[in-house]
Amino acid sequence: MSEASRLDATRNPIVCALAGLCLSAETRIKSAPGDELVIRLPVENLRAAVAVLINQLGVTHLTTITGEDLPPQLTLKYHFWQKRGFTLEVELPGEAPVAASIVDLIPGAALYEREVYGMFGVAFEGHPDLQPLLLPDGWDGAPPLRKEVHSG
Amino acid sequence: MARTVIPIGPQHPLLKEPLAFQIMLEGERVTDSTMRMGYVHRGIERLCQERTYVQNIHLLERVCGICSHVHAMTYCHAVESLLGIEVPLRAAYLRALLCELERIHSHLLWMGVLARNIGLDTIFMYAWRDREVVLDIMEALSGGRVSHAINIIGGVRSDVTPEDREEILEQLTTLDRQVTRLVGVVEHERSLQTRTKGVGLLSLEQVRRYCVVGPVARASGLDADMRRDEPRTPYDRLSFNVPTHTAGDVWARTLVRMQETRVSVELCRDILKEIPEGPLAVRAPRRVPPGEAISRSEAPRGEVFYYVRSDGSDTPARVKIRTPTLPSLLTLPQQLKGVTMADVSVVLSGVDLCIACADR
Amino acid sequence: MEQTRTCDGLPTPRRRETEHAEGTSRQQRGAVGHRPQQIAGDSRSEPNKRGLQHWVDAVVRWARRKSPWILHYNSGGCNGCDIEILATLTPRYDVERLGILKEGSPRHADILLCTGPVTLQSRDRLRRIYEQMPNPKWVVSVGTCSCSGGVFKGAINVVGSVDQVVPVDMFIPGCPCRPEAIIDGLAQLLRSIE
Repeated sequence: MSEASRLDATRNPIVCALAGLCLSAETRIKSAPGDELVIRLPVENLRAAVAVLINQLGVTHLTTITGEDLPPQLTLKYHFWQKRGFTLEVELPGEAPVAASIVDLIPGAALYEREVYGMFGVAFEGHPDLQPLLLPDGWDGAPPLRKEVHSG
Repeated sequence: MARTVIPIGPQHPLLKEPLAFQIMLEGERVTDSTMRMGYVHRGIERLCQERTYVQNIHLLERVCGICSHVHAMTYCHAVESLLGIEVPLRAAYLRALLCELERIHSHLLWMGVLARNIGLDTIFMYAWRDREVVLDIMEALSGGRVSHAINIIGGVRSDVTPEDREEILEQLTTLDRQVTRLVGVVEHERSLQTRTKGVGLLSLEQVRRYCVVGPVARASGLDADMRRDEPRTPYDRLSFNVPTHTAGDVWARTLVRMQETRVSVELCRDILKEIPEGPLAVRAPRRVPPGEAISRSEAPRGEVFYYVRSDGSDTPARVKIRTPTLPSLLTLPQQLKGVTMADVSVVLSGVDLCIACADR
Repeated sequence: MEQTRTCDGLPTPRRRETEHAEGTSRQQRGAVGHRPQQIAGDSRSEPNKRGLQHWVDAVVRWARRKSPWILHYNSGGCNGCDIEILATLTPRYDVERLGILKEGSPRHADILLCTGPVTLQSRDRLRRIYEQMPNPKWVVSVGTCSCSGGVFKGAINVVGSVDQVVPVDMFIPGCPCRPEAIIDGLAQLLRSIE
């Protein structure tokens, strides 16, 4: 985390709007038009942060939700886009991960949360129809993208 | 009124790829529908973690057969961002050329499939005959009709000679003439208009809420196109317009895609005329340093998104792919509500589903 | 157990009964493109099948060879081979001049064209489609993924090649295979139907 990227982030209007809710902000993700901002938040503040993005900043486009298994934590990255891309990052405990669903705020998140549920086993509280999106019927193995699963 | 449940798929003449729907009808009108994905889920994101960065280009080209080049190219963009290298101008132009050719072939393919599903087989035959010209050009450029294998990390693998360039420009003139004729037929075809107008309605508000991308979003009035909004070379040097419409029905999507096809033909001509001389690739370092990268491109169906994370080893730690069909699938229950059974084929075809992309 | 018969009075070929319980391997059926020589109830070997029955059999065999109807099912592929199959119907390749029609229902089809590796979710449906097709039927694996699993071999959700689920008569490799290869494969299959 370089000092320059941290200073650059603090001048960003999104960071200013989320000032009370986030843990840190830095431009960390490389991208050709320009490095993208990553805002880390505690998982309890996720819904409040998304509400701020929608109501105050007029953000509407959620690109996707990326899950990553980095034992002992599990990270969820919510990728948004408004003129430039930026990401909200939350960390969940690896054992029985639970997060609040944002489907009532952004209906477009429905399939992405279902996919993360199937691939990582993250239970999204408040999701209207939480079932795995892509896994076959009768899948009884571990969530495929968790670290302990190996291909044949 | 009688309630019926009609299953469509996973094997159905309408669907080229397996996807299962249950359509609930009261009389002739659809009241609700459910969808079951996952028939084409191959676990590509998991496979990417077990193959090297170079092997993944071959794998990711096979996420989808129709937009194969865009997937490989977007992945290469992300890896090049991680490596901190920039491809030469000539390579960027060649990648964009293939991108636009893919857009033309995909839209012509879709036009044919929509017409066939409605019952207008003649338009299917004409559209796919014209599509063969595009596939010939792609074969001359890369050696393959459908999968091209032209992207390498750092640039492209094969070049276009001055003789090829002249021949391709001639073929583009033929294509332009044929596409103009086809677009004229489609725009004036009364039976197509009657079947598609007012069907599969999505408002701008709904498109924003469901985060829809691509021609489906543009047909409802959302002016978003990654080629213009996050431009890479050569799109920042070329001028092109992004067709939109406001009606939000399948007819609007038809018009948007047909106009995009014509814009893409012009773009191909401009790219070939302005392509600079230079090397085809830069030498990429063997090891990818730890880091994260994101890249976005405009595939024929909309914004395709790649997130790649490297932990310094020779295989990626995580590759996340978001394809444009996924948000469109989310809108299907909304689009199907209230249409008659006969219009279900129009709605399902109008969205331009690419289930292989969505399931990965 | 009474031997089942097809609608033209010929007993069902023996190999179908043994294969029904489990999928067959390529070794059991010989090299690519070959059909096993035993076809039970071949009228040429039975002297009491001469006369009208013999001519009826010959006409039926001619009809099957001259106008096979195909059904296409994608059991988990990327769609590359599917669009090349559709391209064979279009004016440049025009497979309809060989009498081949693309059908919508398994019950009307003679030949099943399979593309893509078989995923876990697709496996039962592929089996059901095969069972719904009336005899005689043939299965063609179009593309490298359906011949061998292709790039997806070993993936978590992928069973593998199509011949692990249904018996396959013709393998057409390619990634994706060109329309010319598909037509060549179908023509070879039709020649072997004699």
